[in-house]
Amino acid sequence: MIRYLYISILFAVLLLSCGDKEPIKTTNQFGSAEILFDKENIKAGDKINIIDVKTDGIVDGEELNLLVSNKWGVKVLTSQLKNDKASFDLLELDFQERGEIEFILTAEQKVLDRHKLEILPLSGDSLIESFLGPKTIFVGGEEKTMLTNVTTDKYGNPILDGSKVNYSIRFPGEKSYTREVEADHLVSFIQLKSKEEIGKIIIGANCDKGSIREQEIRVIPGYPTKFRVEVVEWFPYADSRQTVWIRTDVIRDSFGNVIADGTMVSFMVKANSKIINEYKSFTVGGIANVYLENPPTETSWEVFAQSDNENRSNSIKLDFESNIESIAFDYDRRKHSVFVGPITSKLGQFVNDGTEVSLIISKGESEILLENEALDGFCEFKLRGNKFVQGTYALALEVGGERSTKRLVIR
Amino acid sequence: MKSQVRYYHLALIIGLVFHGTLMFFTFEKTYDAYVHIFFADHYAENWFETWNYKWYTGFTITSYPPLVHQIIALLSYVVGLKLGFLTWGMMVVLLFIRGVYRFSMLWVDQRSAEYAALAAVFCSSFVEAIHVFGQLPSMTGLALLLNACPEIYNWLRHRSRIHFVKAVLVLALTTTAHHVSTIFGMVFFVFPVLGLALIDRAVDEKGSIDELRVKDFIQQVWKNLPRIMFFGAVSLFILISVVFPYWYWSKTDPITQVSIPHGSRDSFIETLSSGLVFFLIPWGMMLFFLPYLFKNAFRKRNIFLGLSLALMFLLGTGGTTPLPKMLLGETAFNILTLDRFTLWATMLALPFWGAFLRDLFEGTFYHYLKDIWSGWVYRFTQLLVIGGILAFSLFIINIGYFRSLQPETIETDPITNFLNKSKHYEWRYLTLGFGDQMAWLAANTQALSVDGNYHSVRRLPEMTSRAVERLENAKYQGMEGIGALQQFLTVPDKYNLKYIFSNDKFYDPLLYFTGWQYLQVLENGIAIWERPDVAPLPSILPRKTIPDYQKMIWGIVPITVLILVILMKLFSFLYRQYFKIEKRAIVKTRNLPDVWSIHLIWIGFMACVFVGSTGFMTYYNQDRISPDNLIKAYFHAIDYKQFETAHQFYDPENRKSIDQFMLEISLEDGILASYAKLDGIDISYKKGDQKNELIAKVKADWITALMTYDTEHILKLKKKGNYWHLLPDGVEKNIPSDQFIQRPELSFFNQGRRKAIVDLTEREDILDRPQVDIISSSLVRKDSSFHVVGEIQNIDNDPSYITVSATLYDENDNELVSYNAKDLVIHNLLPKERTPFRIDFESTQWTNQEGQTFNPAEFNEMAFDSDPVKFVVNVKSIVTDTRQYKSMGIQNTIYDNNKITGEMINYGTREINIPHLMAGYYNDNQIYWVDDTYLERGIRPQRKKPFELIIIDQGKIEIVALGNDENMIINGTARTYIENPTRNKKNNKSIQIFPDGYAASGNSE
Repeated sequence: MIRYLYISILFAVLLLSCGDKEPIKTTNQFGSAEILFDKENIKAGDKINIIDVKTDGIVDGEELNLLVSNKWGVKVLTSQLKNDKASFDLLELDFQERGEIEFILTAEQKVLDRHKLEILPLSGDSLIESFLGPKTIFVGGEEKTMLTNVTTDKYGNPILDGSKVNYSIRFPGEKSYTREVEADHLVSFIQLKSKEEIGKIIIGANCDKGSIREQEIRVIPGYPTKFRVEVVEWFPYADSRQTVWIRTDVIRDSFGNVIADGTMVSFMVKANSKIINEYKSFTVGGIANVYLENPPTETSWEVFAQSDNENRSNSIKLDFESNIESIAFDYDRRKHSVFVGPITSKLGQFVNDGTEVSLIISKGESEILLENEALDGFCEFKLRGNKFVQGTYALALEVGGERSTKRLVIR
Repeated sequence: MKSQVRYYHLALIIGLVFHGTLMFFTFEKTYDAYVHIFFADHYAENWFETWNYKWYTGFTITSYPPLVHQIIALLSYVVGLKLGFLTWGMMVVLLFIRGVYRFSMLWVDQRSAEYAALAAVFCSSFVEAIHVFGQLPSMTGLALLLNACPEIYNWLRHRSRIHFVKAVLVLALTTTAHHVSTIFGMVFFVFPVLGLALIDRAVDEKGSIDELRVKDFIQQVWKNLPRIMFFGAVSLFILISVVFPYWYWSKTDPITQVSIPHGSRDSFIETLSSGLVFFLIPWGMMLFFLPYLFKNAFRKRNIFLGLSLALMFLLGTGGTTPLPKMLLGETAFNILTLDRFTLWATMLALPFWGAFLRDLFEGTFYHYLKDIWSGWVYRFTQLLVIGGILAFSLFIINIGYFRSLQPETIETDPITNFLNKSKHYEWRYLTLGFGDQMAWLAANTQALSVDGNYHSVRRLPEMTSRAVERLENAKYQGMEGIGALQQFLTVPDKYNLKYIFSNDKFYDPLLYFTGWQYLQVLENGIAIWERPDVAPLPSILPRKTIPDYQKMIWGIVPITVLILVILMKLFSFLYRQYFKIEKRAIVKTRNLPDVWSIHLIWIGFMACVFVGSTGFMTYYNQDRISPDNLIKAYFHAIDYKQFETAHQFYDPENRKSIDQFMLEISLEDGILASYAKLDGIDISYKKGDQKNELIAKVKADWITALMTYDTEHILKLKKKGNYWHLLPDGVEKNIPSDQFIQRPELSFFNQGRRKAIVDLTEREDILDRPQVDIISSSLVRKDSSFHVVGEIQNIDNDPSYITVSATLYDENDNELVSYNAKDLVIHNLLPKERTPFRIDFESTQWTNQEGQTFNPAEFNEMAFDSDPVKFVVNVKSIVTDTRQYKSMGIQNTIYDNNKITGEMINYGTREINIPHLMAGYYNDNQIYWVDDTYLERGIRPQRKKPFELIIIDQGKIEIVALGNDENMIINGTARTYIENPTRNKKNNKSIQIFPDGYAASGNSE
């Protein structure tokens, strides 16, 4: 019996819980509303004072919300419905930023109406943001540079696509000209190639009230082309002291522009088909100078310059005669020394101080080399130690590539 | 009582006047004063902040007990940092004298204690610590410890709780000033005091000291053991808790460092200068009375002090015997500076020094001298003692005149102005040749340095892996120091290091050849070097923080303890004054007999040793007494640029005039002439032409900032009478052809910001990075080391400064190491100029294996876990307006089988101070090795110098990988996008030599 009672009670509970839910209120059932604002776009900075709303079927006193949505977020304004009308005060809102905003009217979490509004930029104002690169390009037209501008209005909004931006361009040695470019995807840009003349390309740009600072592109010379070298001054004797002054002509690039100051040029000296000397130099006004020291012995030089591994100049042949006219030397028994001198040069005077003098003393298979420098045309070799005792020696004196020999008998 | 205490008050007054006055003149020349001022500056700026960014990329100041620094910081709010330091210094002097007096009262009678207080004023170890070392915190700790000892004694002797509290408070204060004083003080000061108190308690029971036996003492120990253990536990708790953040830091951030050499560990017989500074000077006149000191210290009552004194005497001898190392253990021996033991030993000896002085002036020694000898002997002895004490003190204070301890004072304002200008503080800086004044500069600027003056907190591996105290005096650390410095200079971008303030020309070659550019010289004579293209510090820097409660402990506890101690002392004083309590002397005056003749013999012996050794050394160290002395003195004079002295060593009869000599010396510069330090010489002789003549062949070893050099010199010597002289050598014969030279020169100038604004640089003022190209590069292996070599060309039309770096990868693309080219590259390139480069990968994790020393001549190769097989080379370039010198060449080159000889010539108008030649080795247009050499002497205009380059064996070089367009990056872009029409032009040479050089005369513009 009790069991049946339990079943009955459960059955009743089941029946009661299966009752219909209250019907969900739909918009249709809630009522409708309309935003009374029909503008599709405004200019940046324009004010919207009030937006009115008309409703139908919504109870008076209902709180309506107007959501103002832009890319930064949503602002919610509220107003109470009265006589099927409501007004939203938008005076405090700034509509300065370009882009799309949407007004969404809602009530009780239901969207009643929407309206999109586009904020358009004004015309260009003040300083245009510009980006230039590269600022340095080689002459000749193979390299490009580009100036990109973002023209903005006074609120920082990029101007409308299609707005015209005027570029003023002046190439080196030419008159300036203007080119009109339309803004596209927020920016306007211009690409330039260099021409054949070095110098500065000056660019300006302006749009309505906006303009950029003057921009400069340096057009720099290209690679050096073939050039010539010449001897400016030289002394044709191998004295290892005087200098040979070699100079290039004005080195230019393939367009005739003088190459940049400081361009490295190497000067080489060949003797007996081998490069024996290398000197660094640099151009000033396109000309490189070098000062080579004369060789120490009679020889022939081939001198040339190059600015890279293959851009080689002409060769200059320089023949150096021996600077030594005569050599005298003798053994001083008392001092046990070999006195050398006078050593005279081609012009009749004593050789320069510091001229290297070598004395080779041989006895049989053994050989001793002594070195000294001439002072006032003379020098002395002291025969120290036990190496130079009694006996016969062969002496060979070398100065400036010249050799003189003698026999020495020490008793 | 009045007449009895007058010497103590006199000591206080004399101490204050003597040290207080002198400190004004000496503290800036001490080693540590500025370091402590720097720490004080930190607290003055931000009391509770424990992280300091200014040194070593940041360090924690809980690495040093804070009390003294905080006191100076507080005083600095009123009188400034320097005067704050001096003010506290004067307080320490008074505390110290008081401490000596009260400590002495435990061991000797009151009169002797007063003499000890007077002696303390002129105690040479104290004078040295204050006026030479500037160790204010450790002297504060010592002074406080000495004041704590009587409290400990009174507590244990009389079981006085108030003295226990006083003792604990003063020990706590000691710990906050210098924890090491507390740690070692417990062993060497407190234990003897505890022993003394127990002995006196035993004597109280026995009646007299003569009746005392060991078993009586042991009984006392047993009875008081719980008290002593309680005291130990409380002391330990105090030691840890009051500076808990210090222990926390040392436990959680241990720094493994190579031991830094210190003179106190030397053998004082082998290194006499260390013996002088760390043994003879601190002991001073006390050495003349050692038998008296030890005899009294080892009396029955004083036995524990005697043992402590003997142990510290032994430990203070450093490496003279192996015993200190055996006792301390290798680790402790190499970490501790042993001069502290000598200092403490002299403190323990002071009471008996006072007793001796009492005996001399009014005791048994006085009577002995007067009665047995005569009045004049007594006066003479008095004069000797007083004169000796004063002479030692004055000598120590003026030691800077004999051997300069610091560079000349540097005015820091121009440097701080430079750092504040144009936001230069956004990069790190480094000082060279500033000595300890670097700490004063750091205290005066907010800019950060990569170096520091407190080596315990070094964290950078380039420093901790080397026994280098700091970078700024790297040349005095030998090649280890220079090796550490080289790493910082080669890869400065790692630490955002951009500016170097140099006070020492020695480093100029290293700075130049590692790519630093001379900027300007300031009004104070300091040269500024700049490294281009280094990024500024990020706005957020890493730091280590500690829990806030530790910051509170660190900021509050030390000053709180100080206030408590002051209040306690004040209260005690008022209590005694109010209740008219007088302090009783612990030890009665006793005129104990002594065998004074033995002491006199010892004094005589020491005097003979002192005078004899001084005379012996003076005589045998005379410059001309032997050929060896003459040559060593001559090279020493040349090394220290004492050219007039060097000139005097020549035979007066036929030497050149001083003008001629100076002219010839100044003619030629060069790395050895101006930028080297003599490391050693080796001399051999052969007979000269005549009797009494010798020809000396001298091999000299020189250290330069770049490398070591060996030079050979032939000197002729002649003996005239008892002295040797140098004979003059010949004049330079070679003279250039032109008297007046005209050459066209280049000049560039970078305006920088054309508008004077401090905001970001405007885009129009930023120059494009110059176009450079990597002609070729390769990863090569030579023996077991890896290198990246290559060739770079500036293909732009602007002069370019380049930074070349390379990264190595293993076969799994794991990055192994990254490093920059050091000096094997020409950093400044003119348009179209080429340079070879070689990057050597140096280890910064160098471990100090036994007997191994850093030698840049032997390459210290990097040890890799896996062999590198790939590499990326990166070149950055910026426009430079540095004045470059390129008017040079090589001539008369002869290629032998194994060497290239020739001459480097300078045909321009400026001297090449340090000529440098690089040789690039090529195989089919591919560079596979780069080598170099520096010439020893500079090359004046229109002159030449010979060179020799050893050709390496090509077989030793193995090319591991070649560079291609993808792994050669130029200004962030792969080489694929760089066009260089001259890149593939054939170079038919197998070896090409690139001359380069440092022309210092351009620095003046």
